[in-house]
Amino acid sequence: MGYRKPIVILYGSETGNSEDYAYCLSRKLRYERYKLTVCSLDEFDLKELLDISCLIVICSTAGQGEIPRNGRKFWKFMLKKRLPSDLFSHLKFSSFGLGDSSYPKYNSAVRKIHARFLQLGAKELCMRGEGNEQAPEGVDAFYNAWEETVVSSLRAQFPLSTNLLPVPETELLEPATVLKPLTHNSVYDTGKNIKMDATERHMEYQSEKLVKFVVLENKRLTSEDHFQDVRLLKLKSVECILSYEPGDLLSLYPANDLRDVNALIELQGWTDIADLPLQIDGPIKVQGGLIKNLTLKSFILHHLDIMSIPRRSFFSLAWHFASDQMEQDKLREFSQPNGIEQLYDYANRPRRSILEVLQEFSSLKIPLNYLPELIPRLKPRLFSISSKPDKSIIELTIAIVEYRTIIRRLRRGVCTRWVKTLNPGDPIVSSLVKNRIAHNFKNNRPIVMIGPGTGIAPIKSLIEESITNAPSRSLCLFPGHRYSNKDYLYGKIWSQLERENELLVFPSFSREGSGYVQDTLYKNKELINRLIVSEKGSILLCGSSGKMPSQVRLTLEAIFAEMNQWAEDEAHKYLIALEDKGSYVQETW
Amino acid sequence: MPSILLLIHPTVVTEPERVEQTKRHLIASNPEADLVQHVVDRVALGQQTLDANTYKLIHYLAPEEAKQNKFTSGLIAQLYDSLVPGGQFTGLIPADCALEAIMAGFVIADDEKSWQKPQSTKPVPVAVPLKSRNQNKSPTRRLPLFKKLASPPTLTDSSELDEDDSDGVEQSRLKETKLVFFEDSESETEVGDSYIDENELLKSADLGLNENLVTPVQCTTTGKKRRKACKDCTCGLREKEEEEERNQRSVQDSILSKMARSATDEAIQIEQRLQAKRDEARRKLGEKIKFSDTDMTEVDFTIEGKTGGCNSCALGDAFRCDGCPFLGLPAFKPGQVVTLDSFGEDI
Repeated sequence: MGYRKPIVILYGSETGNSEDYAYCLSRKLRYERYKLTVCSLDEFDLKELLDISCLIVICSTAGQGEIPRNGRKFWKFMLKKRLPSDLFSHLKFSSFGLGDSSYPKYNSAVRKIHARFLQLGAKELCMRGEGNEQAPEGVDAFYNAWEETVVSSLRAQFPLSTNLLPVPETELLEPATVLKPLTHNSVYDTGKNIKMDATERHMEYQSEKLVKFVVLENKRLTSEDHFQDVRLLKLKSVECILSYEPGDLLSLYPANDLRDVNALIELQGWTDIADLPLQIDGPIKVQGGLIKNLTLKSFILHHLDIMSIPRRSFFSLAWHFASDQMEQDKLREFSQPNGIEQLYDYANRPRRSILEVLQEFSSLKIPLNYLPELIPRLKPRLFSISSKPDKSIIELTIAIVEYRTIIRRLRRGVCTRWVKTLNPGDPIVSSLVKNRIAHNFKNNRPIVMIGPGTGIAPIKSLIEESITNAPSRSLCLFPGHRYSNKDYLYGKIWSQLERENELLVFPSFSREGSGYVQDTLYKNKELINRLIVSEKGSILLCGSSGKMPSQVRLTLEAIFAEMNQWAEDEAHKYLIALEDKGSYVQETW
Repeated sequence: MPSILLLIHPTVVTEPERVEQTKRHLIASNPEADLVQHVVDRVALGQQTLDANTYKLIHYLAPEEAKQNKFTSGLIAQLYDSLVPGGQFTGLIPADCALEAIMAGFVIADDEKSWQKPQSTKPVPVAVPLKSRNQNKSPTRRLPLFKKLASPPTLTDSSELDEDDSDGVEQSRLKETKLVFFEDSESETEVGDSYIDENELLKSADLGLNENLVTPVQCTTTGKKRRKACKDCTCGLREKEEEEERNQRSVQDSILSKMARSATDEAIQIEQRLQAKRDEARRKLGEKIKFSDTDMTEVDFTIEGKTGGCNSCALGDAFRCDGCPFLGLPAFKPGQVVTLDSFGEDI
């Protein structure tokens, strides 16, 4: 089989979405007979950019409009002032961004990367693309349109030298990996030591440093009659050499529910081989590293996101494996560009899982070797640390995710469901993730902290740290909850600190008539204005993304305009200036 | 005593009068200097070494066509080293070598007709922004980027090579010079490195970032806009969706109760028929319920206005019609044992 010129696809990914799209594009381009390299921005040896002529970057945007964590080394290099303007003059490139227009810095990471590549002489292969999570079409629609443009531009600009044609869609590409259940070995009881198995991982596959913990406490913080279960998860490090700052995150590596995994194994007829030791030949990347006691069952249990919503790329591979003609046609229909709307109603809107799709398409039997390509990796989940810096203890504040859709079965977050199973004494591994927020608060000026719901987590860490290290500074907290007696997270701690004159607290209880955080902010406009404008304080806003952050922003702008007799526009610019100098920090998820 | 170096291109040797004229001219303007002459290729190939800190002027005499032959970074570095501080490189300046020259430490004159080795005693005049970071470093630290090539430098004259090869040579030369930036990035000792302000990247209008964006095509098969409520929906679509879901759940409830009833009937029949195997049947079936075609049809007909005539209701959501009462329930295969277990606890 002949190949065209090599193409490199780099992704910058926080949660793995960009990574999935990168692999999706690579599969598409393999059908076009390109030779491909796919890896994260930081994994790629940047020198090799000089050897290639075509580069594609797919990148999401992290909290403050930054480059995602797995692209920071790359970005540091790119920002060097002394790079010449013809450094990438030999490169054709294109980029696709994954963003959410409700964030003020919508898609800014990919925009910056794109702009910098242009500055350094790279030429655009074709129009760039940006996917908007908020758009009615969904990210997939933007991606598909961009993918089409990329493919047609590549065909035109890097044509096949001989009379080769693209691989027909009906042909199945060779799998990238070979999965071998070792039949001569003895059976391992995968279900027996799930928690212990999860802590023993191969380190050579991963860059993050794993830390071993023991669970000290897993306590419900909200009252039993409250609709939501919010957990305090207290962990003790085994080595006691932790180093973290307020705002830093802990990355947890969840496992699937054993019952779901067993259902999949039975469905696919893998029962006999599921507990045999498994050998995987070929490249396979897993965040946190592959577990050591690998069987087919433990591979699925710890590494495959069978409860995730299938993307279009899932269907474009899956239809090959359905033997029933009607099922095959339907799966293929979902994979076509014009099946997007149908697919949305089928999968995204009711939040249907891959497992549920497989249960429904009963003729779909996955060849073992294609399993890693078909089902995305189970990704680590990041949680803001809510305890003050400590060498051995870490506390997390985790809201358990459960909701209903049209599908009868309850929807649960994979990770929070796993968190619920943790008991005191259980071992877990995780890794610390620097978030570079704390440096903005390393001064003695006031801080106004706004943290509805579990947004309180990083704020709690900052408050406790500030009381220790900067006891004279003014701390002003705006928590937001539903009821003062049901879900007021850490309410007792705040009251105590207020009595000791360490903290000013202005809670909002939405179901008790005191409105939302933005209402309470406005009621205290004199104070806010004094702390921020007169005393040059900082603002930290944490919590869920979406409506809340933008409403808080508007409220703050209104306060500044009113109190200082500024025009609307002036107040707006003032807030942007605060943001640029790190005095307005938003950490939302 | 300061000297002058006349570098000559091999083809110029065939025009001795031109060489002599240039020599006269150079000596006339620098009466007290010694003049040395070398063929550029010999220097480039390392066959002729140049003494360091020797020349106040290096003049390159070459036909105009040779302008396109780039100097290697190795050659440029040699020239730089052989000049005294403040010394100049003049004559035919090869095209597209400014980058390498700057990297070697040269300052390029505004008219681009000469390269100057900076005076060591005073700060480098900032001719090019790329150099600015070196301003306050000592002259010996001025070349941290330069790396001597392990292999001999390639020919400067590529006139005899065919175009493809010359492209390749150009490419690899270019690559060598660019590689320096990457190698440097790996050593973690670059304290003095300065960075551009990344926020400026979003502001530069000349990049035309927002204009060249791919937009998704509208769905051509249905022609309708996709209906998805935004995360922060305020227009009422979210409520409408939730209402639809509630309605669907109540439809599901009525179906499930019907199913439960027919399942009970079925169970009674099974018990009657299989009394002998009662225990086994219990164990085997457990919470499983068996549907016959008749049951399915019956269940189907329980919904007002629905005939179930599409025959797809049992197949699962992917095949069910819009508004099918079974939407959200698992697929049923008539005659097969269906597990309600997978969603049992939530019913």
